[in-house]
Amino acid sequence: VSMDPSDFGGASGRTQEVLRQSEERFRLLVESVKDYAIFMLDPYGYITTWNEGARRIKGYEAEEIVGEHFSIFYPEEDVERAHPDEELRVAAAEGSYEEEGIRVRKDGSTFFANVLITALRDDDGELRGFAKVTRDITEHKAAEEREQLLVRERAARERATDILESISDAFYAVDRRWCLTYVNNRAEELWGRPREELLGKNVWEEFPEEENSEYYRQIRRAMEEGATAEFEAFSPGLDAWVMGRAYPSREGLSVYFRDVTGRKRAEETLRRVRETERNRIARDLHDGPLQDFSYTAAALGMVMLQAEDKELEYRLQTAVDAVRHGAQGLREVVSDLRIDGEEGRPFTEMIRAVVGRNRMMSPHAEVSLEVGEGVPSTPLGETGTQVSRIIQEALTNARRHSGAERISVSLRMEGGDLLAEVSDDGVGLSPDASPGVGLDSMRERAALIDGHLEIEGEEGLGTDVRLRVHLPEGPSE
Amino acid sequence: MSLEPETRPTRVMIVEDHADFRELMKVLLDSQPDIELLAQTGSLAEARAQAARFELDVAILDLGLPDGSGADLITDLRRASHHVKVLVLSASLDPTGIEKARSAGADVILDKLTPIGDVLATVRRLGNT
Repeated sequence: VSMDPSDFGGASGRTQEVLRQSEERFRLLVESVKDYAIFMLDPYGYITTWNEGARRIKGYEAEEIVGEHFSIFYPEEDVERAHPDEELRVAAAEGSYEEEGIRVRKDGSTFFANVLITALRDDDGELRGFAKVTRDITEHKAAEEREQLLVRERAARERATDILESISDAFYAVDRRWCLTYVNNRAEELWGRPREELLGKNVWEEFPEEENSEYYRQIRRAMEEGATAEFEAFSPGLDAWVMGRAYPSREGLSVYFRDVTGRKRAEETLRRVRETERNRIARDLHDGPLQDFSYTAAALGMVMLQAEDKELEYRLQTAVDAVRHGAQGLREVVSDLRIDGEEGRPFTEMIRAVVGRNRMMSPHAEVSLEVGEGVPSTPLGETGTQVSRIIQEALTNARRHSGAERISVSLRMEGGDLLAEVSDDGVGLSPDASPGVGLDSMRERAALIDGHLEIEGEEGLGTDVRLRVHLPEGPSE
Repeated sequence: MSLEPETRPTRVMIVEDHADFRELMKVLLDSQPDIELLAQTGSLAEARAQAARFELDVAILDLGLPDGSGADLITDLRRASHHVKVLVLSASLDPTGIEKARSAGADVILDKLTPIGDVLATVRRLGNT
């Protein structure tokens, strides 16, 4: 609204001056506001004024934007659905329109804006244009979102805590320095210690008995390699068998475990029952049928000595051969089944015996044994028995199914680990071969002594059975 | 150190718990004019007693006896007579038992499935050395 000062009389010149000054101050005030874009639009939405805040927020200078349509500030999709016009329509109808939404700067970047559009009408109610006030609330919005995320995360954390407390597995978490950051109810129960006593403490310092146990090594490995580790091992600290998983996390490590001693004991009993049974069957076969076969072969042989008829002699020889063949087969079965009182035998001697036995049973294959430096010759107790059994199973498989010409057994030490390997140059494992009781049995035996078993057998390229087992320091029982 | 080694028969004991096998060996050995079967038994204890009674040239032993291992008997036989030869007939493949018999002083270890003629030849050879 511009007025010619000369329209007013001289007397009113002063009033007029005051008014002019007041308008000027207001204009300067609006122009200099920095945090708000304040500008005016004509009734059709074309920009007629611009201020410092608008320049800062939207990036346009006054001379390049005045005269443009205000839809230039809107994202394309808003323009397509005629949202800017809709805003003006609402503002005109209701006096004002307010919203929060995305706006586009001159450089194409976007920001989150709070927008207020007010319709300007003259005394006659005629629409003269709009005042538009825009505030950049991106930061505010981000803070709000952060706050929401925090609330949500806290809720999730509480839910997770509820879950961790309700599960029947023991759970604890440690940071990268092995300090306990979480201990659930079940872990408190198993350890018999309250979390107040444990949180913030180094787990290995609190449970020094675990050091160097298989359980300890598996969990250390999970942290060091940053890979999930599944473990089933004896925990000296708990005096129990535990089974669980250790998951690397951003913070350190999360460990779930449960006491499986009961199951382990049952398995152990079952295993012993089975061993006893195997030994009994071996003994029965050896003392019964095998002796009878030997007798029969000898008896037929004796009749042969007396036979004067060539034809009869030939027929007897065929029978003798059949009986011998049967006896050989039976003998192999007996040998595979038997491990009488081996636990107290010197380890290397035991392995030599196994290899020796198998050598006798494989006339068509060369069976070699290599014992590396440092492999203990002392008895290894349960570990020794199981290693020898695994080697036996591997040799039985190689003998019976591989058609190998060379079978080699090797024992060597690597750090505190014993590595036992049986490899052959036979047919390998065909992909559709059934896993077989032999393989399962080997795996089971390896697990019993906390060993790690790998079986590789590409078709046509031989089979390789590798066992790694940690040997306790010093002489074993 | 016999004066007439060719004329004196080889004195043999057989220790075998399989009665039929033992009987078979008895028939076989009895039919040999140059072999005299002095004792035959199926247990370790009885074998010890017999060994003390007779001057033996060759002992034929089974390793798996009901009251222990034939290998243990070898030491006792050696103690009783310096010149006795020991022939082990083993049905098992277990190298430990075989090793034990060898280190106890067995002269020959034969598979029980060895043709009976070869067993006889071995007894004869051992008796003449």
